[in-house]
Parts: sequence; C-alpha cells; structure tokens
Amino acid sequence: MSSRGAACILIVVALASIGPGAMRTARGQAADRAIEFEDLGFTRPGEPGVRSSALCAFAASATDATALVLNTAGLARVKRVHGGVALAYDGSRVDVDYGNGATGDDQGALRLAFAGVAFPIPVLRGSLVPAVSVHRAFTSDLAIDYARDNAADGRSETFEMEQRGATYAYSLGVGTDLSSALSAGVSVFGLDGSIDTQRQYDWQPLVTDPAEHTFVLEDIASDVSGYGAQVGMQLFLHERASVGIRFNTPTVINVRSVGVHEETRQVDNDVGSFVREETDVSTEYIIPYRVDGAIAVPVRSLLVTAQVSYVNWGEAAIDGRRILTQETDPVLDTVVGFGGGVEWSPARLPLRLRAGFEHAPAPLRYLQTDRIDNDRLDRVQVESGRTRIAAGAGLLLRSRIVVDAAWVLTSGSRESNILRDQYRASLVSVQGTYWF
Amino acid sequence: MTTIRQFRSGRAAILLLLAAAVTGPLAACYTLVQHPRVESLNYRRPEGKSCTGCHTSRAINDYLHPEKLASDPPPWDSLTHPWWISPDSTGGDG
Repeated sequence: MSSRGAACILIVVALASIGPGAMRTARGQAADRAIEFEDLGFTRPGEPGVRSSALCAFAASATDATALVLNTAGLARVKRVHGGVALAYDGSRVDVDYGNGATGDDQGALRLAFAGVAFPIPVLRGSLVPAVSVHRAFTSDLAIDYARDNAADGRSETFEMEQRGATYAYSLGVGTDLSSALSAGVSVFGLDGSIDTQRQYDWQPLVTDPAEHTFVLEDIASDVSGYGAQVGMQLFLHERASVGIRFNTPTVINVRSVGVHEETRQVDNDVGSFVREETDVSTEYIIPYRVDGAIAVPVRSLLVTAQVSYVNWGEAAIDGRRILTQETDPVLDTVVGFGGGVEWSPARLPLRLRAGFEHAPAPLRYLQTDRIDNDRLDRVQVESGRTRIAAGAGLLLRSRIVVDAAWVLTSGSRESNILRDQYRASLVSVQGTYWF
Repeated sequence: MTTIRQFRSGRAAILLLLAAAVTGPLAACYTLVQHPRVESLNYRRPEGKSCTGCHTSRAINDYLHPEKLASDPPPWDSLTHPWWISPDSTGGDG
C-alpha cells in the first residue's frame, strides 16, 4: 500500500472517531448510569509506559515504542528498531461507607500492559517511524461490598459486586520529523476486551408485615469494542527545553452485555416467587477528547518534566445522550490534572532513577448512592481528588537491553451527604525492551 | 451556541489531523523519490553534489544529532544514535 493510501485510511478512521462525540448533545436519562464510566474503568486509562508511569508525565519525554500511545510525535525520536513488552500488576480497593463503617474488598491481577515495536526509516528531515502496539487501555476490576438501612426505600439491604476484565487497544501509527525542531505523529486504535460482572443483593422491608426477603443474582458477560485516534506534536523550543502536545479524539466504546437476572422473593407465609430473565443489552459510551501538554528540561544529569491534562467529561455520553441531571447539571465535569517527575541518569552508570507526582479531581460530581435501583444521585460535597506518587528505575544491559520497573500508588476519597468512598490502587510494572 | 462551539472545535481537530496526516507521508515520499538514499550516503558527500547546496549547516547538524535535548547521556545515548549513521561519522559538510 502506498503511503498516500495509508494516509487516507488514517484520516477516514480518525474522522469517524471524532463525529459521534462532537455532534451528540441531546439530554436524556443517562445520568443515573454515570457511575458506569468509573465502574468500567473508563475514567482510568491504562499505563503503557513503565518509564512514563514513574515520571507521571509523558507528552514531552516519550522516546520509545510506547510513544505510539503516549505521544505519537515522540516516535520521531526513535532512531533504532526496537521492541518492548511490559507486564503490570494492578491492585485496587474501594471502601464504601454509608455511615455504618467502611467495607470493601481487594482486587488484583497481573496482565499485559504493553507490547510494541517501532521501525525508524531515515527521511529528509530526520526519521519516519511507523509503529504497532497492543496495550491495556482499561482495567475493569472492581469489588464493592456494603450493608445498610435504606430509609428512602424503607428497607434493609446488602449489596455485593465483583467484576473482572480488561480492554486492550491495538494501535497503528507513525511519527516523523517535520523539521529539525518539530515532529508530529498520528495514530489510530481499535479496542477489544471482555468484562465479567456478578452482582448479588438482597433486601427486607424495614416494616415487616408480612416478613419479606428478596434475593437477586445478576451474572453478566460483556464484550467491549471501540475505536479512536490520536495526534501528537513535539517542539524543541531550545536545546534545553522541549514541549509536547497530545490530542486524543473522543473514544467510542460499545459494550454488549449478555446476562442472567434471577430474583427470589420469600414471604413468611410461604407464598414466594422466583423469576429468571435473560438480558442482552448494548450500550455506546463516548469518552470525550483529551489534551495533554508537557515540557521537558534536561539539567545536567537530571531530566525534569511537567504535564497538564484536560478532559471535558461533561461531553461524555451514553447511547448518544449527555449525562446531565434534571436540573441540567453535569454529573461528570471537566477535569484538569497536573503532574511531573524527575529522572536522574548517573554519569557513566547504565542506571536511571525516577520519581513523579500527579493530582487530578475525579470526573464524577455526583455519587450513585443506590446501586440496587440505580436511581439516587447525591452531589459530592468534599473531595480529595486522585493523587499519585510514583517511583521507578531503568537498567541498560549490554547496550541493547533496557529493563524498566515502576511502582505507583494512587489514592483519593469523596464524600456526599449519604456516603463516603475511598479509592486506593497500587501498580507494579516491569518492561523489557530490546534495541537492535 | 454549544453546538456551534463543538462544530468549530471539531473542524479545528479535523484540520489538525489532515495537516499531520498529509505532511508526514509527503515528507517521506519526497525523500524517497528525490533524495539520494540516506543509508548509502551516510553523510559522505556524493560526487559533484553538496548537502549544503540544499540544507543549512544548522539543519545538517541537527540531523546528525537528533537527540537534540542532550537528555540521553552516556551510555544511554547509544539507544538514540541513528542506525543509518556510522558511530564514527562526524558529518558536518553533508
């Protein structure tokens, strides 16, 4: 295929991914489902780069195959053919507290985080670098467990949810030097993944006359697909400073969920019922566009980098409908995050040490406080935001093999009038890269 | 109003994508068609031609030192040295 033909395909796919997010503005009843963006992991994009995970900034400093995901323009700085594989262990815990004590369960799994190769080709202005990769775009592991008296619905209830799954992005892109100081890149990706969810809950009326007890089991298997695109730019303002800008188009995600809903109702006079229903539901989620801007400055043996990210979550949509309350207040709102890190390369040692910090508010401005009926949003009153601290190291072996490792700890809490939740997650990732 | 703003931002994004997607392949095509093979040159001047006839010394220097930021000190700089340039090549006059 000629490079012009390939460019045409890239443009068509990129434009197709912009359309749905940019044009759909209708209001609807999707507000109560806003929590699904968070439950499915769509608000926590994957971390394909072990080095960038530790630095907490990537748009100006990604210089290997992971640049295909982090900032496609960074591919232009790849000057040798190489391939890398990264594995990551994600552990997380969500504690929910309705005022009667926090409860939650630990979740964790080891999965592929990134695998990719880049092929630099010399061209007039430097290099043209095509690359392909697969990376974990979203992790959907989640465990929620609580019991409470629900006065509004007049019942005592328990709720338990266990969910496991991951969605991978298959990316194809190219970065190139446009001049001695400017490089640019473009990429497209398709999503494929699966999520298994089990929800179990039961309730009894607070006033028992007669005594009733209802048990529900939902077992749902979901297939995830989707697509999106990215454009990146890196500009060398000065030999001691470069800036990078990454623009991710809105991402369209289709989730088809096939499940079983079993409801058993017991009554103390032995009159009860059992209902089993099979469900098959398809939902389209739109994740809004995202812009990241970063600067990288080398100072002797240090590389200092900082980054700002912007996502207008108010543009998120479910089945074409934006997520607004009846008062037209957005349930998810704009998020501006900032982060930065430092990398130290000791003179003449094949070792690099790095550390970073990042902070961003959570997109949800309302919490779903009734997960059984999914019908009660409560505005967040106090929020700590999501804070990440990270550390890592890189080791160069035999001038060709690079082994990177990173450890990231993320935490945050939110509080509404009805509930308080606390999120903690740890990530340990290792990447091996061979440079030909 | 919201729709107009979204349409404009969508149009700007489309133009940005178009510019990036067209300029990259064009730069590559121009080199492959018009320029002597870069791998074979390895920055030795072709007979009867001079790199400086088309490129500034600054551009040639930038090309020979593409890491630009000097953020890759030894021994990491070996990973950013272009495979199509011999390590002992000094370049400079194209």
